Amino acid sequence: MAELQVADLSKDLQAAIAGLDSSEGLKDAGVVIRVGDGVAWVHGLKQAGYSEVLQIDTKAGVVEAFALNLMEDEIGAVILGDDSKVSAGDTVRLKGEILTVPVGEELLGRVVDPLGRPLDGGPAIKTKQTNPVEREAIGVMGRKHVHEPMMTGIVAIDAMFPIGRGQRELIIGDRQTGKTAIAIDTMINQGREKTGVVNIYVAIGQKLSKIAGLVERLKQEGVMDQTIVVATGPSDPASLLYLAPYAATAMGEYFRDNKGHALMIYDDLTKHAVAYRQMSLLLRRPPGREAFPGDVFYLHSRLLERSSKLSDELGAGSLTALPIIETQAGDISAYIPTNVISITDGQIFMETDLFNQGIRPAISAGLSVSRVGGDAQTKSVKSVGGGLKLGLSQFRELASFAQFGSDLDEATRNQIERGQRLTELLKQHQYQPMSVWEQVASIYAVNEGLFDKVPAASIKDAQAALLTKLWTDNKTEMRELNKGTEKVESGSVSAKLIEKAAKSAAKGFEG
Amino acid sequence: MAVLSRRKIASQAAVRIAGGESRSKVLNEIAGYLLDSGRKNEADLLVRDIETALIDRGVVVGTVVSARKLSADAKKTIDSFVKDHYENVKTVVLRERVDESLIGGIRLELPDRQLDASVVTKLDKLTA
Repeated sequence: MAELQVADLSKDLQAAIAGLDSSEGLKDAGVVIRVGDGVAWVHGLKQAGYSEVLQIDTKAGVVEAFALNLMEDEIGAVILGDDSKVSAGDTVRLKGEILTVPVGEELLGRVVDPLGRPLDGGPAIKTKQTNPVEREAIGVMGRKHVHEPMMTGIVAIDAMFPIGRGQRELIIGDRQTGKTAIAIDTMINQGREKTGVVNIYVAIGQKLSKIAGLVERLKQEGVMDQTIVVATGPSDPASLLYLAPYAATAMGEYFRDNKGHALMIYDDLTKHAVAYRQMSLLLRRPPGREAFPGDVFYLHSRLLERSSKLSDELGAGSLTALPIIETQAGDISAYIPTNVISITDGQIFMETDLFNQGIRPAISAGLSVSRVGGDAQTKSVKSVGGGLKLGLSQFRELASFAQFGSDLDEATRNQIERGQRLTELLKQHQYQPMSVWEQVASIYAVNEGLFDKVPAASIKDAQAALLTKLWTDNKTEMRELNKGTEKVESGSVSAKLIEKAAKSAAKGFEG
Repeated sequence: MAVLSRRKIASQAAVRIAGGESRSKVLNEIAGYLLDSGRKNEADLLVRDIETALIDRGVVVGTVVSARKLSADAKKTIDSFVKDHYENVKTVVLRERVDESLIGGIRLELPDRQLDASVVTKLDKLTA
């Protein structure tokens, strides 16, 4: 009996070994000649293509790498994983494919690394489809102009620098000026307003504690179900940091290509450029300005060009991008900031001074711009937010001028006072994105001078009172206004309702 | 003087060796060049490159590692297997090495390709 069992076992083992035979055969092979700092130099493999995956047979198992430097005598490959396992003399084989990541709805609600492996302790992710990490952007005929709004819920942005689906809008500013906060609020707003937009947050070399906090917050706000977090920490190899935005974009493209809408947040591309610089220097590519390699512009342009609004023939899906860039002491003329500014369709500039004055979000009205969002702005917000940017910019100029003397004519004084009220109105707490009707009612009330008697310090309270009253008394009309299709101008039904509520709300705060 | 790439040196050496020139003479010249240009540590890689370049000249040099000494029949089979996989190869030179850690099967190491049909690799894959 025992002999029989052993014989069966032997047969089974033979069968199992035979089952693996499909992978056998004479395969192209090379050898690792040097390794270090996450880069392996490989001899042989003449057939290797750019960005092709290599498999290194190490004593501790297979380690993957991808070929980036194809030279006459050797290949420079960046190791995806622990380079300490790889040693000189290890055999290298071609995997026969370029890097791919799993894509699909199975990823929603998950935290993954740039190769699609779960980091949240959840079950393994099994998707039906995988897509290449690097993909060419959609061509001219496959695109359509940006015309649908991507509401951020932040009044200052939606009213002055509207973002459309398919747009690339840069968020730029010094450290600790609230750049990520804007991105998070935008994600939360997609959940609250039930826009159906899928959020993809890419953390590039961010502190893991910060990512954990973000995921926790998104769960609390109930938007994690429509969010994918692609996370890399400071201790990850530069190769993973480099791959993260491309991999995440591949995940976003799945939704875009299937008639859906996705929002990419790249936090942040400064660290991405630094990771690429590290890789390039280790691959011995010649350094250029600020030691970045010559193709650092292409690094970001090919990434951001993948964001697009698709034509009706391709399903009219969209991929919107909010890349983040961190500046040093407000210097937007440094290499990477100028590059990304020139690639994107506008930027939201965050100022440290405004942040410290308590004006949050600290958006600079003068330096921020949205180049294509105008068409995408909702009709309602457009009808009330027209002169907002100009008014605010003029106010900031007048305010600095007015510091020199108090002897001002009435018109100037009025403008300054209106500007102060507007500034107060545009202040917004974090995690509190506003709906379209709330934005329209607030801006209309201040623009039309309905809050002129309310001291600037009480504007936020008056605004809260106005919104509460409007919602309590006119739910149906406000729901209608929230669709954003109605133009709000003096004489219209909504305008009358807002005027009535604003007058009543202002009475309680008149100074 | 511009540094010659290994591929170019190897290609020249392969032409001369395949053309019937004395092997030791060619190798002596290369050794002299490597010492002269301070590239002594590239010798091993250059040998690999010459072996790779020889494939285009109809000569395949490789190593067969096996758990036990190979029979004449097995050697013949491997020889024809190699010839089947390369175009225009007339000569196959195989070095033999016995390595018991393979448990069974063979590992064929050619200059640019590899066939790993050893039992130890299959077992490794099973456990992975």
